[in-house]
Amino acid sequence: MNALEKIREWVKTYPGFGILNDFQIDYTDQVPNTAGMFPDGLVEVSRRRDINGNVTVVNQYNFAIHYLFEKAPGDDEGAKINADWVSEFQEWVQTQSVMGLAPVFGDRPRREVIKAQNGALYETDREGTALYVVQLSVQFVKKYGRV
Amino acid sequence: MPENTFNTPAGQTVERELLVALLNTGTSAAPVWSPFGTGVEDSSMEYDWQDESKKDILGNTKTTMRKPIIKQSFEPCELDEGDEALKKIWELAVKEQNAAALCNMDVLIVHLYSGTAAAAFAERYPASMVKPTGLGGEGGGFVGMPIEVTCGGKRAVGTCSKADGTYTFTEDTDA
Repeated sequence: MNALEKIREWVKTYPGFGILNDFQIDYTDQVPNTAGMFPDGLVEVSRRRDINGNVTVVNQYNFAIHYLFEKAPGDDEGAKINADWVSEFQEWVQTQSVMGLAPVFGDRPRREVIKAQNGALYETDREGTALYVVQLSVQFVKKYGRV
Repeated sequence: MPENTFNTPAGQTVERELLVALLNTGTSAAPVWSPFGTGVEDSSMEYDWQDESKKDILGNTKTTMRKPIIKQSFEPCELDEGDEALKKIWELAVKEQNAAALCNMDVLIVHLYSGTAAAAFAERYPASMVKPTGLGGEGGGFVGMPIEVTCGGKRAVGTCSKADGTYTFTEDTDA
């Protein structure tokens, strides 16, 4: 299973995920209660070489997760429900990462950090939907023997 | 003994990983050489020549040097099941507190950049001191055991080959 599939399958295990009808990659249907995951590639954060030539690389995958929920203009109650859902998702990601329950991507599991940040309302439309975006990052260590 | 040459291309500086310090984790008769310094990003051999300079009453300066005492520190040295050198040191230092054994460690310094790729210059110090200076680390990090090595015992020079991660030292007989 590649990294994208691994992270998608894990996000689906969020207990609140059941309200979503669809979770696609690079696409979000314009129907309430759907989601999409938008990969933003791999960033190499650092690369270090020890005195024996072994290399340790810190990498980071970045994703944007889009959630489309119902929210009529001026619907304060709906806005609160949506915001709570997004916040609780972020806290769930944090708990999973801290407790070591999240999937492993590198060679040093205890150094892995997964963060879900900046969950915010991105845009609304007059047809009663609101798009929320959460930035998900996965930082992990890869080790390479002397090359 | 023929003149020693570097086996790296002219104009290309020698890479750090071509200077390797190893600990014998086997026996004296059947050594197994395991590298120090896995995960260590900066470590140098320090040469103490015990030099001394004196100026007599006529203004002439006289200097003396002795053969060097060579020391090298390695830090952080995070404990790892796959690091045979650290495992042996931990066993002797932390578990057994065997100071005598730690002062009689067999250390090999291999200059892979010198000589030929199949027979690099190497020096063996069979009674070296290997001294852990601590054990611990920060919360959320890993257990480190910084060590200091002082090369000791009757120095033997020779050549070393490396194949599939295995180092083999051959002492010069014409020394």
